[in-house]
Amino acid sequence: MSQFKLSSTESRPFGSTPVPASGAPLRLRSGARARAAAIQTLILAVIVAAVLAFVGLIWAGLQRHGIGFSLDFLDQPAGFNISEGLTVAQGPHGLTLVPFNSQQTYAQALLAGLYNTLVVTLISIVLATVLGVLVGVGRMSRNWVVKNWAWAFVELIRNTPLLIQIIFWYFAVLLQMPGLADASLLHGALIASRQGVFFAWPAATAAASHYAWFVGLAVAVSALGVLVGTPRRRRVAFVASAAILALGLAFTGWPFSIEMPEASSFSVSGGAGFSPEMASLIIALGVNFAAYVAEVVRGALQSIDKGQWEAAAALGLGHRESLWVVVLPQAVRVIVPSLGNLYVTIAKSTSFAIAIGFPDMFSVYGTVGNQTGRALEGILIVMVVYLLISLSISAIVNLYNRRVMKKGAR
Amino acid sequence: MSAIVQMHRLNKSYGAFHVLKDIDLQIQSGEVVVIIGASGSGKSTLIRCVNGLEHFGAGQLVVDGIELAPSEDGFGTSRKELAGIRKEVGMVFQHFNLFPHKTVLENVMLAPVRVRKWPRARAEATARKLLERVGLRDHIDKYPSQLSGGQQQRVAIARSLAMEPRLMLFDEPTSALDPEMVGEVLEVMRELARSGMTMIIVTHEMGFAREVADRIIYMDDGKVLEQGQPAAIFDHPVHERTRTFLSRVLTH
Amino acid sequence: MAMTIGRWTRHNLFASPSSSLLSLVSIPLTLYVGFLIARWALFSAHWAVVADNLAVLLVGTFPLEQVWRAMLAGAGLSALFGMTIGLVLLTQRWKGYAIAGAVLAVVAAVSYATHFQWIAGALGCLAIAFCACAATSRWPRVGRGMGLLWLLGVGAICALLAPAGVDRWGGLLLSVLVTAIATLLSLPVGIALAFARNSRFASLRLASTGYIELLRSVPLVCTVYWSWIIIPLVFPPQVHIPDLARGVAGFVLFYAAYAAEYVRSGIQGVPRGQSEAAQSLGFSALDESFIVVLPQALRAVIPALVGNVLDLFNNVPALFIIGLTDFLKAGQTVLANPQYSGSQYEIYVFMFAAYLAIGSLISYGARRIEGKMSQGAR
Repeated sequence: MSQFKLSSTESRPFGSTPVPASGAPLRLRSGARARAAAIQTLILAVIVAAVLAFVGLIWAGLQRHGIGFSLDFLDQPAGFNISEGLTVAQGPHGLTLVPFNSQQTYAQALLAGLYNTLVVTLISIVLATVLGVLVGVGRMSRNWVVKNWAWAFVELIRNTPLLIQIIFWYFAVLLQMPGLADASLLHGALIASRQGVFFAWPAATAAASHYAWFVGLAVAVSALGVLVGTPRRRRVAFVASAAILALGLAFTGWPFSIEMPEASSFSVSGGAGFSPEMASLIIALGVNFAAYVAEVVRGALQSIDKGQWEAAAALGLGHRESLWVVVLPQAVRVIVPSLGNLYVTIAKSTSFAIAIGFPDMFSVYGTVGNQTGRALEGILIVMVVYLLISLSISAIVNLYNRRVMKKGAR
Repeated sequence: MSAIVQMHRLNKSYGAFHVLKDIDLQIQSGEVVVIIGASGSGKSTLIRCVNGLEHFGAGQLVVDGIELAPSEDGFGTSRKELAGIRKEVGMVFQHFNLFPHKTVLENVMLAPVRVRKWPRARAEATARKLLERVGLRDHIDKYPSQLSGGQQQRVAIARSLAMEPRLMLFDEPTSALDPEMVGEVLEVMRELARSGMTMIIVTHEMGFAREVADRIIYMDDGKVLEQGQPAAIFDHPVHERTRTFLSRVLTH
Repeated sequence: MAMTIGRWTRHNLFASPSSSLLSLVSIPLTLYVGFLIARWALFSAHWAVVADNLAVLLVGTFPLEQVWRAMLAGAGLSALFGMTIGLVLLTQRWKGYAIAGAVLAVVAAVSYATHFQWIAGALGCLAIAFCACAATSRWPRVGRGMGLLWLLGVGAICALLAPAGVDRWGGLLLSVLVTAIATLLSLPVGIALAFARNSRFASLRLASTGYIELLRSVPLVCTVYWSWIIIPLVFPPQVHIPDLARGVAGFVLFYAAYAAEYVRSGIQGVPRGQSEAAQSLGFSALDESFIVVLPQALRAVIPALVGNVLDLFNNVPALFIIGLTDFLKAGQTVLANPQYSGSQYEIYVFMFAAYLAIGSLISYGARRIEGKMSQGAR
């Protein structure tokens, strides 16, 4: 009764392939493996050949244009100035950080650019993270106005180019600030002018070198406490170091004093500050990536099981407390890996600084490349440095991620 | 002897876990063999070795006259040789594994066109016939997500049959189905058995096994502990462990 | 349960003391800032600067006597975009879109008659986009080979614009064209890289991983500049590769790495059972990858890929580094003209608004796609 008689089941002779003679199976066996190994080697050879061919073509091209390839330019004097940034130079006691001047080498110029890149990256990362967490939390707020402001902020930033935001902050904000004379805010603690943003900053006093001894002692005691290990002893060690620090103050006086920025008509002395270029770059990057951090935070908060909120509420915690004490710490484990990617992107995005004349590494390279004609060598150096920066950031974040994962292992 | 599957001292380990231990087995053409046993006994791994989805560490395995090579890393048998085996060996999975981005008809037609290089017209005709046989003529242009589990599994069976295989493997075909849909799939399998198809079935459906199987194989802890006719195994099991397993399973 | 206004206000704005404080501060602030902006936009802003310079903003330094080429190119791109959006949305309200398109076409004709050429052109392109969207929503089969259509279409558009001089392309037209070309080229490369990354051959895996990690660690401006330097060195001196081609090459190299990562996560999301089913049926490795796995992988990551396209579009301004004039640079060029140098805010607000409109549209599209796919409708 079955109609499943398939066309060829009966009429086919046994075995679509005759069983090979006894010797053959062994050959078949090594055949497949040998073939795989052969393909593997072939692929490797093709890749290596392609790379070599590419490099060869470039070399030929360099010769043809009479350029050649050499890194000698790195030792030659730069002959141009960089408006800000520190570079490494030989001082009386070894290597020190000094401001760049035009007698220094091209290599030192690039180092000054690197310094600027790193400073901007670091501060932007901090700004973006703090602001981003606040905005991300704001997206979850029950207050309609706050929630929608946060939403508008994120949408506005993510849908428009970073470059236009950088230009906006520079031309439309920083350069529109008042001149030095009228720019004082907060009783002189902050000067926000179009020549830059300056603020009060601690500066070492005469007592600092004496106080350093107390600091050293306190650090040693804390380190001892950490190494020994038990939480109780650690706490004791920390309390002891705090006591040492307090005692030191009594002996030597304050090791630092708050220095206010003093503005004359053309410049500012005292305190610390950012040029308008650096300030606008930091603000632009910080604000821009805050939006992306906010999205990561929001996604992570939403991924936390609703039960956590309910349990916190049942314990009597208010909405804000539940968020900061119960839910957000759990969300950190989800957030950290994505943050690593964002931080690397921040580091890379500093290269847009060339658009507003901030001397970051890429911008300095631009000048160096133009003056020496060594564009190819320069860009290769710059790319390698960016690669190292990205790998370092990823490595650090991975380390932190591993610690976070271990703590809350599920 | 027309043994379509021959295993001799087949061994496989996942790292330290020795999952198949010295399996000796012969399956004749036209035989319906049902493999039963507890989870972790190695039944699924065994039939997945037959069509090369799992590779085995040591021993001999010949399927449809083609010998598969043992290997640790999966590089033992070439893809081409495996394709040769898989043309003649069909497999039905526990979770159907239909292609969600293709219609039911396309699902069934795809392999004959791409693998056996049939013209589309012939493949389509065969597909329509098979889908009619499994009772799904009205669902030909639907997508898998629009079908019930039982319907999807029947499509999966039709998909494998479209290749006109000489051997069909079933890896717990009804375990993922709601109880009311198990019957329709078993009916299709029953007809297939009656038509003379060689089948190796891993299942927990004991009533079905008793009715359809030519031979029952009981696997325990990676070994073939007992095998024989259904009546012998179900009514007079020899080993203690077989008896324990059957008593646990048959009380449902 | 219908929420009265009072209830809504109490719940959303004044739920707690801190919430109330926030509301009391932010609502007046928002209204005040909004008022200031509106007053500036309507009364003191000199929008003439935008109207006078539409040519530069839309097509850069394109030779104006051949502007018909640019118009045709714009029409072509709008048609392609419209068709794609229509295929994606498959909206039931295609009639509405068609009507919108017709209305825009009429307004465009009127503008043309009253000598607002560029506005007419822009509106005409929008009209075509709407109609194309309606067309593919109604007759999806028209968009059968959309990928191929894009390739041919973009190729044709490049051929159309080439006689005017590749170095003269600019403005919004350039931004959109670069986005299209770079996306079309980087996706296949990204797919190849993703499969190489999962290959069973260690040398392929290594090469692919190395490339992806390298390109993702280096800024886009570096990659673009590097391409710009390297490419003329590799080719013989008689062959002149335009700056634009070198820049686009840099974009493709960069974004292929990102596409590869998205596609790879898509591939990993396809259940193993699919590969096993394909293998059991005797599929070759190529067929298994391209007929079974890839379509499912791509479907899963389309929202992310669309986000990638938006990111590409927003990074086209990086081309300023090799001297090209995209939409953003065109705006800056306008400001360089002493006659308009005081109109900073007007130009930047206009460009900001334009980018926001385009970006929001693309983001909205990505969200719609995501929504449709999670419904399971295929």
